[in-house]
Amino acid sequence: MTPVKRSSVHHVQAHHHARFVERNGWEIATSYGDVAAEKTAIQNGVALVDLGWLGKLECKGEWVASLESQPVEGATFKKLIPTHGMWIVQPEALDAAEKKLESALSGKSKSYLINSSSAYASFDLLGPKAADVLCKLSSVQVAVGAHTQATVGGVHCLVIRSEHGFQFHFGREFGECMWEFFMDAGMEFGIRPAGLDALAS
Amino acid sequence: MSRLSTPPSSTLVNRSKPLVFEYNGRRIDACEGDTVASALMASGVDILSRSFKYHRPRGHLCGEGHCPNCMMNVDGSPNVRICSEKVCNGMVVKHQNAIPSPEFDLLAITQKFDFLMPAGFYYKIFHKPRFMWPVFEHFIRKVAGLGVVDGKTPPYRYERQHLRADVVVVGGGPSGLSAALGAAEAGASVTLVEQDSFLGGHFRFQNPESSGFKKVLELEKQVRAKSNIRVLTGAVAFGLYEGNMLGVVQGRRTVRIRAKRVVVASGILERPFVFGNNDLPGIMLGRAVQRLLNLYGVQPGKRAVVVGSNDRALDVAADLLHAGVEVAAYADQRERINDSLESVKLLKSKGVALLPATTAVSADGKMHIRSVTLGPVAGRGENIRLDCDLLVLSVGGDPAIHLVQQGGARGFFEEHRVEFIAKRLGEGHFVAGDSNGVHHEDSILLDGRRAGLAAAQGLGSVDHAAEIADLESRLSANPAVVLNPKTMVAPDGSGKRFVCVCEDVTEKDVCDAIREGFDGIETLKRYSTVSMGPCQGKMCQMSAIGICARETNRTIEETGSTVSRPPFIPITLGALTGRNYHPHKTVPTHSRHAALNAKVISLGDWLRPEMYSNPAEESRAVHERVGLIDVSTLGRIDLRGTDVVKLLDKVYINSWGNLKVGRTRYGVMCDDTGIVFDDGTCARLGDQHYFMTTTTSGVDGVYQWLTSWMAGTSLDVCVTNVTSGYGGVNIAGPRAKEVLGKLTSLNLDSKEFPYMGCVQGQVAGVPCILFRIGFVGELGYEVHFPSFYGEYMWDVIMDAGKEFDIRPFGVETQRILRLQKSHIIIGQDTDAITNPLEANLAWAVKFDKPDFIGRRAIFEAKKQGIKKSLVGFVTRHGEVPEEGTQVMENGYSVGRVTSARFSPHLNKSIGLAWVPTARAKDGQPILIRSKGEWVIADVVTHPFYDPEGARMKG
Ligand code: FES
Repeated sequence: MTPVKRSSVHHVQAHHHARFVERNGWEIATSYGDVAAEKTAIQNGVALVDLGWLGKLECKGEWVASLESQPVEGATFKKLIPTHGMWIVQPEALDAAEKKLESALSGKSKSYLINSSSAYASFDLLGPKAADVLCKLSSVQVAVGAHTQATVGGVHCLVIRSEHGFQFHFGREFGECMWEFFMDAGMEFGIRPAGLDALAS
Repeated sequence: MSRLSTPPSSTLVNRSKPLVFEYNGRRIDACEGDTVASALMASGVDILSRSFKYHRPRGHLCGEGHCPNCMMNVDGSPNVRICSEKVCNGMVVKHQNAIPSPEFDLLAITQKFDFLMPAGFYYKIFHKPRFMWPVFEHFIRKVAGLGVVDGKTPPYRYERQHLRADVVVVGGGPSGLSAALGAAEAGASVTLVEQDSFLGGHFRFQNPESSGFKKVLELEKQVRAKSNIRVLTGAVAFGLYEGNMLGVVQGRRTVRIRAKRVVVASGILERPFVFGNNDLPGIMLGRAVQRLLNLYGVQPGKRAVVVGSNDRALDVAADLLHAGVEVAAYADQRERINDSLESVKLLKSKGVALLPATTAVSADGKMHIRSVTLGPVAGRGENIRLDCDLLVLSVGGDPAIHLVQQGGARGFFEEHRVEFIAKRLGEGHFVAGDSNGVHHEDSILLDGRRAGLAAAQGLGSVDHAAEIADLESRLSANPAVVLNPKTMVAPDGSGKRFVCVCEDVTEKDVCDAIREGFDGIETLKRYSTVSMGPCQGKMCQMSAIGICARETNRTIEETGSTVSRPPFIPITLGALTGRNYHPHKTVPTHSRHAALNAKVISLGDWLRPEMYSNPAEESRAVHERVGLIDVSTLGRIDLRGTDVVKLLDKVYINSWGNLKVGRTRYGVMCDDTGIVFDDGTCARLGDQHYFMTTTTSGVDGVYQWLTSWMAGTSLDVCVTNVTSGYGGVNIAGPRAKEVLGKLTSLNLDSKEFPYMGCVQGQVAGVPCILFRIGFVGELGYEVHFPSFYGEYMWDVIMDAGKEFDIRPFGVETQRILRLQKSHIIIGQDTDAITNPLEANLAWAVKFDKPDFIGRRAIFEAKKQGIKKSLVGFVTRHGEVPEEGTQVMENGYSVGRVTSARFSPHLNKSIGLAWVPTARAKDGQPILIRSKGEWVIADVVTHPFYDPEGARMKG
């Protein structure tokens, strides 16, 4: 057997008839059987996408202030507090990003880098109805392009808003129940899980 | 009552879509769009309830969801106002507060005893003789009241929603629509909250040929087309709270809206007035009649008398004529009726008698109105009696200013308009339309727009001051319309004259209460219960104030009004709390436990396998071969930096300076009063890198504890809670090394990797942290791996263990195994007053290090001597005492059992208990009182199994 990484909701996705492919050591859901419907949900309704495979590099300490201006390929930086930030990294870019940040770190006092890719579950909630689903689970307010920390369905999350919807990063152990919360809250809007194929097309 | 043969074009009912529901066991046909009330009335049901106190028959009255007359039990929910409840196929509707039915109610006998129920009777009667009170109470509770929760209906699911808007407009009537449109056109994001299922307010249920009806249809179209207006229908704003937070209830959903500005355009609350037998079925308010006619196509009677006080009443009379109802007379409380109105021309052309300066004096009938006596408003002159089966009251109403009052505004009485107008509004609050005392048809729309623009002022870049000024001047040019009569009470008349239909309070009750000294409006309310019913005074407050003013020779302004508090309408507790989320946690190997049919239990939010087969089988595997348990739930904290040892020495009672890289130590944390609050292991992974484990439930507390003790210091330590990042398993048993050896090239030899050692390395190709520790008392390897490998790791270990007949074991078996070793669980075997000396942890306390949290307190405890001790015990006859039961001596409790289990391996019932230190010696007998039985046990001060620890040290 070769080690394979699975997201916190892999078993739930399998229950929803997900089709998986292996990419960058991860088993990733490409679709749930109907890419066209998933695409329609993203464009006209609301869809839930598991992004558990995204890499996360946490930076702590004094160097965080300087990181916002640091370009790291395949990664975006989210500052949480002045001494704590998180790089969200595409899985193929994770190793290079970690190396780059480690070298940037060397010699800096009271500064730390922690690879916490395994600690977070991540979801995208996409589509014009995403905000309607979210407002049933949280009172969070975040502008397009901004991020904040908030409680969603009773779970502490980093919430990032894009023009297409919301991204959530939260403790991996809550993956299964957050999936249930989103699917349940989104039922009235016809929410469906969507895979990578629907995202790509 | 029946359906109109041709429904009006304004109807909400789709007659081609039939629905069926059950009312008191009877099948009722309805159509899509019907309310339960409209369907019942179309089917000839006119007595909808019995009154609160006297059990008088009551029928459709307000039709707007305020009065208590139509409250019924719908699908198990009591007190549902059926005039606002849409019919669903198959719904089950039952009457309440009547035995056996509203049509024939045995409890109506209470009317004969009304002399026992004067104002404030519950302060005066039924208290004596004292021993009779339980009997009276039982009877009163049975007779008086509303619906009951049956306890059998499964709980409904409630939801909560959080919204934000620049401007919230409360009320989707003409002024509300104009306000929403005005604010939206000014660039604001708007949420429009409307109580009804439709927009348009009272214009919407006017005759479809009327100008008002056409105007609101057009306005609705424009509002619906605006992308920056969110419309919530069937939604009631029940409270306006600090920071412009509006509580809105929409069915079983509570919506909390944070608004920058709030426009209240909730119209008027139409009210009845006081005359003899004014509560008979068949007496309805004008709006209720218009709704029945124009929205639901139901004819509310055959021969009507209309009593009004404004031009809107004339429209109601005209609508009745259009619907084929005979109008016997139109009485108006005003001195003059405007002849030029179209409605008046119609009434005249149909030969309807127009009676100015006339009002209803009394009504007659037993179960339904049969005639009405009309008389002069002034009280002098001749009365006339007219047969009718419908009496329509259209005598104005009160501006619905409750919400702005909750927001700090005050109601000022305007003498000429006979209504309270909201002034001194709170910041960002606006009132518009009818609720602002503006009743002229055009003015309502202008005032709405004015309020909408004013609310949006300053939120966008465009200044609308000029348009607002223009609207204000146009408003002042329009004539002021007065809806209300000077008095809400008929001059005289026979029969009970109800002021408050909710609480069955009559004019006489109110007058008696005032004579007894309760002449302030607040005390009058509390003593007489007027305006304390389900509608909270919406139907009766003005009449009560009027009577109070009259009886005390004061003006209305001097009499004042009561204060409005949330909620504006009754709401269920379920809606108030909404849905509470209790997120559970799953371990990275969760799916594997489910596949193995494990019994999964919830422990501290985690879903954990309690057992897979049975503890006997599972523990045998651990003792004889090898077992596998998931320990992913352990708390894990990663510590890095140059000052980690300083921090560890501070927070643990043990010493950490001499811990070598690759070694692990058991550590105990105490708070500053010396109380044990967590334990676990801490391993040194590198020079400046430590890995701490905590109890499952304690990790968040420990993390906060560490960071709070670091705050303000210059310590260089990076503390990270990495619990979520790792999964973990414990491979335990004599064959554990062989299983692990198949998966790793690490040297597992006891010299290289001894007991309490730790090592980082690959297991089955996965980077892991391994500890040799023995919580369960056998040779054991705790393997921590990145969470995303959870399923893979479980599979490879189970696979490698197959040849050794590996067995997964659950939390229950772990509890037995750890008890065999007398390993304590903090929080279960210790409590909020346990210090480490008492808990057999004295060996861990290092008084020789400079300082640690709790040092002083533990030192003091040591000086005073230890009076109780945690010891093991074996019961003599195999009983397993309940955890928490008492250890007794001479009839007194001297301790308690903290853990107890039957150990299949030892074939004994063992446990841990707190006992007086004098008893903490091997072989000392202790007496335990469990489940009413005496249990004798003997104290054991060493581990029950492998006391030397030879097996786990291997
Ligand atoms: S009529 Fe409802 S409280 Fe008086």
